[in-house]
Amino acid sequence: MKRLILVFALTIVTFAVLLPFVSTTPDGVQKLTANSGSQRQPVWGGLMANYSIALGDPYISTLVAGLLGIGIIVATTFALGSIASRKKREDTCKSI
Amino acid sequence: MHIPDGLLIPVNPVTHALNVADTLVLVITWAVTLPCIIFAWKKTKTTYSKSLAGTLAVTSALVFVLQMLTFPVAGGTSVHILGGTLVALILGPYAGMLSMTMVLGMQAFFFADGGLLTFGANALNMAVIGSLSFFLVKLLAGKSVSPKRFAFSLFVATFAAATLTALLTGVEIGVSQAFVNSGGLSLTVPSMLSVYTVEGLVEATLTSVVATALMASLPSLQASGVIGLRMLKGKDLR
Repeated sequence: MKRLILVFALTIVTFAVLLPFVSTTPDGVQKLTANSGSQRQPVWGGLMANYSIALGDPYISTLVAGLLGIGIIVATTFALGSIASRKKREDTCKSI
Repeated sequence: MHIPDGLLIPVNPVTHALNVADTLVLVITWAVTLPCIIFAWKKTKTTYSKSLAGTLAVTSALVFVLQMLTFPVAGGTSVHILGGTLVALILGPYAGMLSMTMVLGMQAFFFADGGLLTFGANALNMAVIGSLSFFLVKLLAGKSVSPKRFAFSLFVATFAAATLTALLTGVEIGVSQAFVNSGGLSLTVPSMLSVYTVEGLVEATLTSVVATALMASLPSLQASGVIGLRMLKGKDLR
């Protein structure tokens, strides 16, 4: 558990430190889409589109959006993992 | 790499005509992805007997961060690490697929990074292909204990996964209505492959280095569960 917390802390520190250096040019699909001139009609715009929430400073906006994302992912996957292993424990109890 | 919402659309918004190719891509990708995810979930429940929650959560956070840290390649294009092979090595292919699927789902829902309709395609390209590369590592590394052969197998599998992901993405968007007038497959496939060949080399190097280091310290990691590596070596998970 200690090791997991250490890896998690390192992940967040790495994120915060490297974030100002990330590339802002479009990715492969975005660039192709932009060049094709086709009009996109999204059915869903996301709650924090472009990893940004309106906080003024772009670094802070993306940092906060990213940290919220990390929080959401940790919470949902932890729940999923708990469900997966809880079922297993019940099965083990039954087999005993 | 994430196909955004609205790029593949079943019905043309102006003419209201059915986009046959777009619809087919959406239907086929969902039809392939859903059973894979359900199978991965079932396998995760039956195969993994130790508590998975902590490792799954931290690994998923790691992939999310890795995918946010975009870096430039030639031609004014950015790429990010896909992470599928690395995740499969840490979590095993089944929980690895679940981890990647969850990350892609949250990216689509909260950040509009990848669409909801196109989620089937994105999950196929990144979660399913990435997890399957685990079996390529297993095939190439065999029962060998040589660290060099292990590193080489990882390099090849990661690179193959990135290339296949790029190829699939190129085909999926290339046949769509959006690229009918700008070259279709002859534009999208070479473009995706050229960009993601570079990304694949970077990711393959990174994955080899990280996983070889993890493998070297495997005896002390057994309790903390680098599950994928243990599965790769045929160790009992219980």
